[in-house]
Amino acid sequence: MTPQLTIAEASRLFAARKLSPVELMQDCFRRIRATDDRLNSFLLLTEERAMADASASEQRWSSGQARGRLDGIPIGHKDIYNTAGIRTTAHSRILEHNVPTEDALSVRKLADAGTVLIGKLATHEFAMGGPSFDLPWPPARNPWNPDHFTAGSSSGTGAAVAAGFVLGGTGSDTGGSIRLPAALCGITGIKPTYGLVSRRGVLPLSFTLDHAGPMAWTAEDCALLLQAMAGHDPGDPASVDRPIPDFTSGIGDGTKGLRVGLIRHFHETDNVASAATRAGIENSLAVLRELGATVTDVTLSPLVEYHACGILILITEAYAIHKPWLTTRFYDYGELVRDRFALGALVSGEHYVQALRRRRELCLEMTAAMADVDVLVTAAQPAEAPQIRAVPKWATLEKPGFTIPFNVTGYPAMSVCTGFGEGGLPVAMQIVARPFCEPLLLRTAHALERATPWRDKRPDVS
Amino acid sequence: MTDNEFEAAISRSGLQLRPETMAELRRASANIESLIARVTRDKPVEAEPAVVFYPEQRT
Repeated sequence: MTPQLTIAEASRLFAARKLSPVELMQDCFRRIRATDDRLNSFLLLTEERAMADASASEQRWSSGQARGRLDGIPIGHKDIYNTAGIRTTAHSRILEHNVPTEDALSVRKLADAGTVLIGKLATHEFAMGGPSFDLPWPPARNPWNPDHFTAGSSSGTGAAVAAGFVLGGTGSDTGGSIRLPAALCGITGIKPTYGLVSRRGVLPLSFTLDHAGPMAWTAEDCALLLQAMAGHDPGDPASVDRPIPDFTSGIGDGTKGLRVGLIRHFHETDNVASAATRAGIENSLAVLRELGATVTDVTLSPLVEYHACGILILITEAYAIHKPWLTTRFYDYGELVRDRFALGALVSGEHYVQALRRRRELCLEMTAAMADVDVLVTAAQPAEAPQIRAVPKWATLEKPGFTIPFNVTGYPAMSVCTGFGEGGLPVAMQIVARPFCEPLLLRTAHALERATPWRDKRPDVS
Repeated sequence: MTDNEFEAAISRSGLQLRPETMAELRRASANIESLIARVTRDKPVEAEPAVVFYPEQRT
């Protein structure tokens, strides 16, 4: 079996004829068959189709007609991305037998780039509630320790990438659902700027907060996937029509002169992160300084202000979207998600508009805070992954999360691994850039990954 | 939010909830109220919402 590879590494091996897409795909399925019964990262495998797609890719590489660096790369899609002819359930009894007739635009674009779909990945139900134990499929578990939580909602993508079942995959992020599982599973995930990646064909949770984006082992791999996913889509009202930069060409240019703003109060006062998480951030900042960056503290409104605004918008929009099923099939949802959705009934029209007015104030505040810095840094998660059975039902309401501020403002944000906690599970930090500055964001994350040893350590899932 | 206000909101929603669900939501309603309090503080009357509306639809 080949060692676990990044997308960039696999692509180089394909180009050098030292590895074939079929061999790589077969290795992925061997790993899945050996261990996914403990991790539950997949809801559905598409092996027959994957074999055909990998063979076609192999022929393209052999004939010098490869479609690019993603050709032949095994990936998985979060099961809220519509896949034509392939069951798409949102991990819910509500859509247990749903088979879409069209691909989500990102699914189609990634297929056009030559990727090989291995299967559909677990998610928190409708990208909202989890971990849930009362659904048709069990929740995904953390490859670093299967007794522990993956976070979510892109739980299956986090687990499958960390375990080496796929080299990358799709996620969605409404309050942190790409960055949170990326952090707890020790991988890399990017929530792009709102409007950069089409949401068409991705089951909605909250129209004004939903983002689609990639998850992979490294920032470079995220850049490769984002290159295929980004672009204007007239079918998505939020999609922005602007030129798409090359996300990989300058990724190795380093961070000399980078101005970093540390939102220290988010993780040291507003929601106190673990010692390992705080140490990971400080160590990473020291690395960035060595690489030529400067670091200053930045102060924003307390984290709970962003949290209040984001959660109210999220549950109100989710409630509106799910109202038809909530009134007719309430108890077909899992307990976590149905109760969270039902809270939307308690938010009035006035409250929703007030939240949107507050959102504008917070967006203006963040714009001002970034006037003199290039990127912001704070925690991604408060600590390493908790036990999966120890996650409180109302966790998302009780403590303000570090990720939702950047859904509220639409700014691009990434989670990158910064080491390991006392329990041996990953800890992470979040890097944020100005809107549409993904190249700088990816360059910063890439520089950190190259200068630290964390990308060299994989979970032992044998 | 009083018990009556809570029950009125649920009744208006049309959701058919079991008593144990009602009790669970009632417990969580305090969290929602605290979030609402944070976004309903005084603002200038002209403070606009963060909504973008294009008269020229981009379909």
